[in-house]
Amino acid sequence: MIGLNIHIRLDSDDRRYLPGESLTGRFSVDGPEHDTVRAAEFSVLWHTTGKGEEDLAVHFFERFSHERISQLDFRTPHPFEIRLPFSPQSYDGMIVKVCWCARLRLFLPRGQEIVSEEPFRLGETQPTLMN
Amino acid sequence: MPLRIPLFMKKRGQRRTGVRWLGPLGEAVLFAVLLLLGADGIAMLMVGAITPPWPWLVGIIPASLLLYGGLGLVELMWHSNTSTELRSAVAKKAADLELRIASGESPHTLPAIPSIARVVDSPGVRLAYRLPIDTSPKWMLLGMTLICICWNLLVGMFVYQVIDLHVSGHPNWLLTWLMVPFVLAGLWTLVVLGRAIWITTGIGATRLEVSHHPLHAGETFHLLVSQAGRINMRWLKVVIVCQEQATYAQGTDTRTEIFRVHRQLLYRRRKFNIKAAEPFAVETEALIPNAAMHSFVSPHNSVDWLLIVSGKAARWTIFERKFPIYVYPTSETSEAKQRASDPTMPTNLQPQS
Repeated sequence: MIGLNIHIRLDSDDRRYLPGESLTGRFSVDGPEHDTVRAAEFSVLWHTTGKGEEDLAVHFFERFSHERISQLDFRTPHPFEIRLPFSPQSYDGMIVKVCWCARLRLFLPRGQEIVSEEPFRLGETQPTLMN
Repeated sequence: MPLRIPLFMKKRGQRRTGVRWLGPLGEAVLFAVLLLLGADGIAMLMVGAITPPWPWLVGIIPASLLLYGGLGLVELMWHSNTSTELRSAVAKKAADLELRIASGESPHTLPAIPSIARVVDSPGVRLAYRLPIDTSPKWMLLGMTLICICWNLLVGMFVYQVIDLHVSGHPNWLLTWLMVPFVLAGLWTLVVLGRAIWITTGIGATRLEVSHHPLHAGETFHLLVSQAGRINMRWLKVVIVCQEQATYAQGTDTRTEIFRVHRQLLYRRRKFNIKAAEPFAVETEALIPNAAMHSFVSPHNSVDWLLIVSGKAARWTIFERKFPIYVYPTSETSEAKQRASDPTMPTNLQPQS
């Protein structure tokens, strides 16, 4: 059991964003083993789920190496502001789904990793009904 | 605690039981063996331990092993030492850089949306754009032709041998009877190919024109359908379709599943004649539903919008012709597009004061 908790909080309560809008929020890491983190990667990305193989594309990516982590203390919430793209918009189809999320990946000693993500919706697309 | 390596693995949802590093380790051993074999082969050629007739030509074999093993090891190390997100970010940067170098353009402002370039480069006669027909049937026809030729040539060679044995007075009846199903299969490929060519070329050209492109959700557009030929039509209809397409691996096969999520009839007419000198033409309207998903494309998944013209002529089987259209997101205003393409706009992590 790894004694680390990741918190990603988005400022919008309903977690719905329009294309071109800013995604704002903050992330933090706490727990007794917070100083064991060797590197961290924060990304905003979309990925597909459903019947097909998973496709994934990163819209925003930042890596914090060991040196930067010692400067940045993740116990204090770290704010972010990212302009979202116009596509692809979130979609709940029958065999294809497009999901957006903000994801934080922590790299620990001995090749261990912890990942946490906060999903959100981009756009107002609704599943089209068969006529 | 002793290390236990389970012999059998199970897939539990998104995760698998078993040791995670065992698969990559096996791959690494395989690539290392290929690399060593290749290096050994090249070394033996260079020191003259083996002297084949064409050393440079024979050298291709160990060189390819060396290259395949080396690249495999590098890719494996890259995959095991980096996260999915980092790999995606690097791929995105490389694609953006390639686009900038190739065309001097800024990266595509609408990621995962197909470009409309192949639609808007062909002006229509009555409306703004003439839609290109979906090319997949042509590729299928080409594939069918190649299979038909290869199969029948192979079977033909065996049939020639069998006939030769019969003519020389030494018939091989077992081989003769074994050839029957292969000959029948060859005839079947000829019939299927002939039917496909007949349908593709026999019915006259179908032309579709649209008033504007790209299209947006909640938008109405005009559509011109034109059908040429000298045909006695039983029925003709035009539908707009939105379909999801997912490609996935099942065992060693790659399968594609298509699911239609929207289908709306735009035009239908029964029992009429089309004259050779006067192609049938009709103008109609179509609506993209409100809040509908835009066109989307990624390596294994897509959401496609299509206009489909289908019909049945007397003494013909049903034909169907597909014309892809592109639906773009509604929020894409010119101001927003400019803002998205502007690299000076804040798209970075910015600490808030």
